Amino acid sequence: MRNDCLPEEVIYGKTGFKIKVPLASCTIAAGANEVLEGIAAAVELMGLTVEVTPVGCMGLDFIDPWIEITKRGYPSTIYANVTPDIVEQIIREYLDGDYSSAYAFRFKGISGKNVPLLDELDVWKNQVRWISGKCGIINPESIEEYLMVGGYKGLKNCLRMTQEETIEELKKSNLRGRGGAGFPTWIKWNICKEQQGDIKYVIANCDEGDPGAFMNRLLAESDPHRILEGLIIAGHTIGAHKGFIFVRAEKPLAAKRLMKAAEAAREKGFLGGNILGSGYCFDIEVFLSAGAFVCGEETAMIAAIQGERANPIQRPPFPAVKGLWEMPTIINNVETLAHVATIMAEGWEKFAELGIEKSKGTKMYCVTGAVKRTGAYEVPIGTPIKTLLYDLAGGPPKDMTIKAVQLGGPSGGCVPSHMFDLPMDYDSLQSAGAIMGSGGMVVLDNTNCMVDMARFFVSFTAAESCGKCSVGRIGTRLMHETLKRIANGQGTSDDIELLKETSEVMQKACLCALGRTASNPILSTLRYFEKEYLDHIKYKKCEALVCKPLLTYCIDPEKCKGCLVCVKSCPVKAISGEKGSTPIIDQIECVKCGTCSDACPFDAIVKVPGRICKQFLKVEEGLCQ
Amino acid sequence: MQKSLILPSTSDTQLKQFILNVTVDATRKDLIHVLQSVQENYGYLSKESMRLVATNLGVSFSEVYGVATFYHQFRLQPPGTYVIQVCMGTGCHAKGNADNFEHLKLLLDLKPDQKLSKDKIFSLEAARCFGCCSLAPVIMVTDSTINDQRLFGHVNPKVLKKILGEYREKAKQKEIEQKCEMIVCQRK
Repeated sequence: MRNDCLPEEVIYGKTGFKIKVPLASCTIAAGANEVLEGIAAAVELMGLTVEVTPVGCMGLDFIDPWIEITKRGYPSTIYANVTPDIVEQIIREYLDGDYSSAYAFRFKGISGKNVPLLDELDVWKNQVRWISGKCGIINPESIEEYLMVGGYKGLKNCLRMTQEETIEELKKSNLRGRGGAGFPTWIKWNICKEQQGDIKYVIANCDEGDPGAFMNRLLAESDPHRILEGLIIAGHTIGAHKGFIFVRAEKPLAAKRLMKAAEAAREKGFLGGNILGSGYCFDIEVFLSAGAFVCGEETAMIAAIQGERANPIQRPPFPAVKGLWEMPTIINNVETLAHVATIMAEGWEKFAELGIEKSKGTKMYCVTGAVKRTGAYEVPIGTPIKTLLYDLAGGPPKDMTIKAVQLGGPSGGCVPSHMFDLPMDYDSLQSAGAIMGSGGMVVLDNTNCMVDMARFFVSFTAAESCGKCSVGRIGTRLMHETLKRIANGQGTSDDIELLKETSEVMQKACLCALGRTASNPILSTLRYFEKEYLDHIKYKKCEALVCKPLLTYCIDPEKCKGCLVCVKSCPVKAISGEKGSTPIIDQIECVKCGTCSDACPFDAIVKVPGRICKQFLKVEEGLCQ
Repeated sequence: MQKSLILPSTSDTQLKQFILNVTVDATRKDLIHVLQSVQENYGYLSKESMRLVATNLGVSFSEVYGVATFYHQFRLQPPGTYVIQVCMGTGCHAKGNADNFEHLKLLLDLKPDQKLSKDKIFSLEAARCFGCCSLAPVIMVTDSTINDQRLFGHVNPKVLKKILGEYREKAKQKEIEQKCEMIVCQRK
């Protein structure tokens, strides 16, 4: 599956012996650069002739940093969680035919000793890697490797077709935008194509402002040519000659790889004047965005490219009619464009086989939070949440239970655990009060407070609101204040009503989608977790022990050995005591930072729900009930 | 004193020359790009630099200021030698990065609105998602003198203390090296 139908050179390299090291932001953070140095040293020491190639990330973040060793006549093997000091041992064992290293996976091929085949692992076999299939396999900075695995085939097909035929192809595939709203791609393109005039623009949205999602970054870092190919196809179809890729400056590696890819494509004649002899001219520019969540809104992104404050404007006219510099413009998410490139190469039939009746194809999801195997996974649309969380991501870590999953970031909502049979497609999720969004899934467990999560998202949208329309500006602020009050234990029973009322107004009156969807996290948590809100308001209690004003730090005298580590560690000097006896926490001074609890070698300092009335409290007893 | 961060008062002409260079072919639409280059070089956008950009591009100061304050990337205050960015994405929040932020504030002895530590070695910022959610909670430390970024995953108060210690040590060594250099220069 992974190495099927790949040319020999991509698998084994020119020398027949290849070591792949993933160099993407996530793997570099996990130490891939050090591993690369380690490999170079080991190879030199052992005197091997081997090709060491950087590749992208394949989305299995829990095994970072990994390396893959392939040698002709040997089974390809992936080693997970590699450190520089064990690299040499791994290579030796591999060459000796011993594949029993604790973390080795193996590919289909020659049978070896007890190493699981990657294709048989839950995390791999449940995926359909339609667009991410080449991530982690090819060198993202080499256009040759992309060409070897069938790259730019879609563009070649597209250039042979008329614009109408391309749109027809997309219409049959029923591809819907992967940026969140799920608008059919062909309709958008068709509207723009119909517009008169020579100057049109296409923009690839790689801004990915949604916290908790990283599939766009992963694609741009691991397979940038696929995005480029999709963008050129888009340009050709609507008749544009200039394209932009909108990347956040906070993702420097993605921007660098896209720029490099554009340069290589220009050299090979896929960009520039007279592309592949077809007479069509098209060039792109990578635009480094300075970072603002509201740029996800099409009209705001256009303002940003024009060098202005990213304020959205009233629609219609839609950008497809009047966009960048008043010219017809289409904006597509990079994931959509990658789909376009793959559909044009493989044909719409294969794409339409995947997914469900109303939405075809696959979608990438980033699963993070309380699961064993965090990572980016690609599955057909309509896959139940359960499959993704339990089969792919491995369920919750030991001793934890999953409470809910947050889908779609600040514009999305929560789905509680009893609804995990829900298929993930645009409509089902919408009816459950969440959205597909960009595909970020944050798994929440018992240590997460839903009021706090809602407060977090609203504080995000309040900070990111551009301030242009008063409903958005004041509404987000009002909701944030109310939630802060509830989380601080000062909420009243009217507050829930107030939240609902504000949400309703915002959904109707806000200028852009940021404001209209800002209340989703509140409404969905209120819908499924109203009890937690009531706990905060009525009983001043936060079961998850997250909301600081509603919890108390106490010392358990049974466990305490009187070592006074906590006394020394406290940054505000709120703990006092003598050696050998249980110290006392002054609850008035305590800022609830948790330093003492982390410092205590005996785990004697615990958080308990509920707060202590300050007048009542006399610091006489160590353990407060 | 950091090497590449040039004080506007001492090198006014240098700043002028630099901004002239980056704005020479630029028009109004390149404003964000110009500001990015200024920040990359000077670490932040001083009032003076924004004024120069405004004059050179032929737009009003308020327009430049408006753009500079709108986007997260732009900094209007000089950063410390090491900029600590605490990820405030959903994944990191769910794993307790808000606590880490508070903890760093305590460790660096910062007042609520203060960003720069007293010794000017560290500045603390909240950042949006770095896209490394699998390592949550994460912090990024940027050495603003050489623009070197390092990301630390799975941080907790203990790790934070260690990281700060390491960077303090580094800063100390740098200072010593610079002093030695100065002495050598003086002798020459």
